[in-house]
Amino acid sequence: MSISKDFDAIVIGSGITGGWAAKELTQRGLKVAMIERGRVVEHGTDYATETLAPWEFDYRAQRDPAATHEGLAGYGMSNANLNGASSLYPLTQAPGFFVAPEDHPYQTPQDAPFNWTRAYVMGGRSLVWGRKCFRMSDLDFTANKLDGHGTDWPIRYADLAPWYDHVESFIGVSGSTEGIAHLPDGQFQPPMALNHVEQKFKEWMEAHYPGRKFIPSRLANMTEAKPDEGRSNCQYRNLCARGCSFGAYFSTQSSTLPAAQATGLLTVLTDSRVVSIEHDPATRRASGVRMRNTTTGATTTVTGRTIFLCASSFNSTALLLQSTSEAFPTGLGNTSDVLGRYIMDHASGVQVVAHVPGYQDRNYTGFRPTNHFIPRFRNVGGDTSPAFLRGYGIQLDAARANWEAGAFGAGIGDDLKRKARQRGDWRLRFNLFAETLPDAENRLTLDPAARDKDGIAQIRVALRFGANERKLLDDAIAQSVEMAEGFGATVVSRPGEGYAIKGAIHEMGGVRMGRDPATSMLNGFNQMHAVENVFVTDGSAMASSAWQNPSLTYMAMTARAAAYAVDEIKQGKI
Amino acid sequence: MDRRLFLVSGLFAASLSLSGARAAWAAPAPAASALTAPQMRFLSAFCDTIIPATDTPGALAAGVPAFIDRIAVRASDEAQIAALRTSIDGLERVLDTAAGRPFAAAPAPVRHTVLAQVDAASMLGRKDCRVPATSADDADGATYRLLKAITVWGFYTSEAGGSQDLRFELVPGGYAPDIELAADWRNYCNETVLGQ
Ligand SMILES: Cc1cc2nc3c(=O)[nH]c(=O)nc-3n(C[C@H](O)[C@H](O)[C@H](O)COP(=O)(O)OP(=O)(O)OC[C@H]3O[C@@H](n4cnc5c(N)ncnc54)[C@H](O)[C@@H]3O)c2cc1C
Ligand code: SF4
Repeated sequence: MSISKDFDAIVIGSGITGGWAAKELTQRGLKVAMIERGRVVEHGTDYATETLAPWEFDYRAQRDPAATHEGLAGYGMSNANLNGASSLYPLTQAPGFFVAPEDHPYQTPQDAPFNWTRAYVMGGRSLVWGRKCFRMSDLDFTANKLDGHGTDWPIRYADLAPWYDHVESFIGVSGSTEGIAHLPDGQFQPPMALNHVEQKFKEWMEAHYPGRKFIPSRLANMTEAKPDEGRSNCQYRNLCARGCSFGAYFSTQSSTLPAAQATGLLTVLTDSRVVSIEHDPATRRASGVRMRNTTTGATTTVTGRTIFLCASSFNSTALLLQSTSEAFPTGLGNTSDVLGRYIMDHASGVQVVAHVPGYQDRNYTGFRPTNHFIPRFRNVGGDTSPAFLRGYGIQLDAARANWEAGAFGAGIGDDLKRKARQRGDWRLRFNLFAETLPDAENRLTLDPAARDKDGIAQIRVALRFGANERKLLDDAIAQSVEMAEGFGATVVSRPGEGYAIKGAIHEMGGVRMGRDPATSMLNGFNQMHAVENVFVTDGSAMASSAWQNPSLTYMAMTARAAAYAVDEIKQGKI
Repeated sequence: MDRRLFLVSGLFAASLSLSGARAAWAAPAPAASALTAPQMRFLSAFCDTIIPATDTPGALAAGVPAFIDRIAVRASDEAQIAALRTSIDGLERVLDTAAGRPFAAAPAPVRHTVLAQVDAASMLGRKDCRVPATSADDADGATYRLLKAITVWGFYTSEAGGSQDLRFELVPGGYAPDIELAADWRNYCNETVLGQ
């Protein structure tokens, strides 16, 4: 059954990139269907936990202890879960945004565990992301070409720069203008401030390490309101991953969805999982998508003139693998055996924490929803580190311990209550994110046996961090320790021998763009070489991981691809 | 937009009114109690000694023993409950012996002295009672730290502990990056330290 023939465009997914595709395509006059596998989440009214105090949650803002059943000792007891971003399970019995892994299983090799953090709801991970927005530069866009790992990016910074401007202005990014060539400045609202110890650390570090900078984060949390869009400036609650009725951070709901809806050209279909993209051999175009109602199991076909695949890197890659036809027996557009290969994530999951003596009289108030940033300083700007290729970034903050430090320490009675009320000591926390080299053996495939509850083949993720990634992180750890100690702090925790490298929830690649159809899936406009009316604009298109949080780049690529697609349609080319 | 203005605007009011709907998801009443009645009496005395009422309410006023029982039921299978009961009995015997009478029946100053000694011994060399026990740990010390941790957590995440002893602020409204630490500073119960 076909529900409509007259969509100009079908957007698959309503997350960070799907929302952008819907906005840009509708604002350029296209009639768009945005298809989302998850449930509706209305801005404001469906942020069920947003205003709850710890005692208003069933389990005090920890996950339901029955979910793991590990006994009293397995119940979480940490304010770190208050925000919701660190818990995969709903914090109350109200439905949460995150996917519980047991509901949507996937496979990994035994020696390569991979934690795939997903949100299958309207808005996708735009509701729960960390909101860090950093531009890539030509240091990144030329890296593959220069060192021979991966394929040359078909675009350069100049291609994306106006689109970065466009995206930043619309979503609202706070940040500072720094003049760092490899972390280009953008359209920023005023930055979120550094606190006293961060400021001291900055002064010390920049004096001792020429070429290194410690800068305010660049963040899709607004420091200036956008009254016309009903979006307030950030209220410093640090509860962002519960949803924000102030609309103070960028999400589909706060930003791109209302813009798309205002055109009157958007149809949103939720609870609808796209299971394949249909290919018409006569026209050699995609004709539409097949989708499955996730409640009833009914299957429907929706037709459209062009398709924007924005289901998130691994889901988009899998969907193409699932979309087989006589013309494309190994997946839509897969003429080169590249589909599913060169998947990446940032090498991360490691932290260095150092105790900072003194500054006991300095304080801050408000719950700032971010740490700050030491941009890459390796193999750039005069530094040559021949031990490894490329570089890493460090997300760093200084904070005084909250009540937990005093309350869970030694002491009882009056003494305990007094300590719990007092500000704890300062600590520096270095969170490390390294670039991952593209590697054909890092690969997403469909499991030949395991199926999910919709009867669809489970995804198999085989992603191994290699020697270069470990060298980068080893250096990042050593540099963090050296900087902390130089500043007079004492390291209290650091990764031990043979530490595990984890991903950073920045999974990408699988449908990479490139210059040559023989070695890539997409051209420089995210357009499929082999099927010209299909655009893949999420992170699966990435040809290298770079070292920055990637989603701003996905948004810029999406907006650029949408403008290009509409031009092509108007010219009758697709 | 001005913050006060925003607070009275429809959007935020709509989300505040959600609290009414919350009852629909409230947890079902636990089927049973994890602990026996004598153990609950012991736990009450224990919680009251860890966090007594002072100028602010203590663990009893905050309903901490019942909270612990509820979490224990929800988190545990039968074997885990049996193990918890055995552990609590073990700790109770240690405290009874030290108090020279049933700990639960001892006067508050005696309970404090006894528990302060146990605290000093079992927190020796440790900064945080939440750190999971290892097989090398002595069993009563591990039980003590677990019960202390959940007592502390139960209290400071309760309304009494979180808003009358500590402070609760849902909407700080701004960030003051560098201010003098006030002499009468009280921590906020809902301050999350990123990456902790
Ligand atoms: C806790 C956390 C912190 C993060 N912090 C940052 C950060 O600070 N900076 C940064 O740049 N990135 C960050 N990320 C990563 C960021 O969230 C993702 O890169 C980004 O959301 C990707 O956008 P997307 O549109 O591709 O996918 P998503 O936002 O995940 O949206 C994909 C949508 O598609 C839907 N979908 C999937 N499959 C189908 C299907 N078959 N049919 C229909 N719909 C489908 C999903 O339900 C979902 O709604 C973070 C992520 C998490 C979880
Ligand atoms: S910290 Fe800012 S963006 Fe985050 S929930 Fe609060 S007001 Fe919204």
